[in-house]
Amino acid sequence: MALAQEGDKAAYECLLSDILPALRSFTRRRLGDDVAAEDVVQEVLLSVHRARRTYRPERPFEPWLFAIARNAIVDFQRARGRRKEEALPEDDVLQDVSAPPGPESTGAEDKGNELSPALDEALAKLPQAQREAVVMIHVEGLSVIEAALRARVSPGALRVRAHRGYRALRALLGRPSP
Amino acid sequence: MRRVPTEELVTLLVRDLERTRRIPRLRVQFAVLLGVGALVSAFVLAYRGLRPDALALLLSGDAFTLVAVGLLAAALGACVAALAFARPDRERLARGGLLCGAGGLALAVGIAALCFASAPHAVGQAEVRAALACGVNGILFSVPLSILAAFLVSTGSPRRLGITAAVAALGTTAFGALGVHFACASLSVWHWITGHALAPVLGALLLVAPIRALTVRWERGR
Repeated sequence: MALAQEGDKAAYECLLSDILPALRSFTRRRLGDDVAAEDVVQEVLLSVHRARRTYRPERPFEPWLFAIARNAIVDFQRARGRRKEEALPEDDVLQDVSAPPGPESTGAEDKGNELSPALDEALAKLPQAQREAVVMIHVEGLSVIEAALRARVSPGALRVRAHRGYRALRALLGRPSP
Repeated sequence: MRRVPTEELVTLLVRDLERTRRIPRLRVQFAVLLGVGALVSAFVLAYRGLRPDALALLLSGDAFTLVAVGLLAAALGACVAALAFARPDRERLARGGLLCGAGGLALAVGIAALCFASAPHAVGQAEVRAALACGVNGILFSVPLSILAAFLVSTGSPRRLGITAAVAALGTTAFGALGVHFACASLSVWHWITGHALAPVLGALLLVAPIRALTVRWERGR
């Protein structure tokens, strides 16, 4: 990790690959769900990346890593609880109002890349952070992780921005919430 | 939403890696904060003057001493906690610091309040105004220290920004309130409690938003 802090990419790749099995085992044991565990492992890797400056070489690495992993599990469980309580609107609002497929188009190839004027106008009215999130995920087709890396926020925060953006778009376009 | 396989994420993170400046040791950051905190308290004393009977009151072991000890505990404990909250592996220290700071202050205020209750007196408008003035004084003197605390916290990676900012505000305002406590000439226990001991609580409420905003701004810039 000390080498990674110096910018050594090979050492960093080696470190991340080395910690993956331990992280998978740790999160699977705590969550008992392979899919959720893999999501949390990804969150942990991103947190390690964002918090890498907080590691001090004179202190052991494992407690630092597993503190991040424990926090990620707690955050994941809280977020899962919230999602159960409040179903968030999905991004189908964008699919509903994206440019209608022309006669020669199958629809699928255009999905997410062209925006109708109404949607374009509604997007312009969103706060910048929400607009960026929606555009990166829906228009540019980035994954949440890639978009979070670009926006320098956690994937959770990016998801929240995107969902708020979808909700605001739904309201602006006069579509009922699902 | 599209998902990225974990192995691909590793590649993305490695590609994104840049040389990063390591966070300074916690004890170094704490020493800096403590040093500037002591300067803030000293500046308050230099500006308002040390009350003549300060030493006698401090050694008396009554409500004055309790409030002073409570404020010192809040200043030290909350500042350690704020710095530790910015490091993933120091959460236990952060909780300990918070318990020591907030708990110490609450205990001191509680016992001082019992002292006041044993010999109550009517509180007039003038006394309320004086308490408010002392509280605001303590908070204003602490603003530069709060900015420094926000900067130091931003060198780390605080998980709960709101709590970290509130704790930093509590600790830094306690330094200003401690200076005010030794400078203020009042002999009223009610005044010590409301104007001095509760000033950090008011400071935490008032300064949490600016400290949070500064921390976010500086953290993003790193």
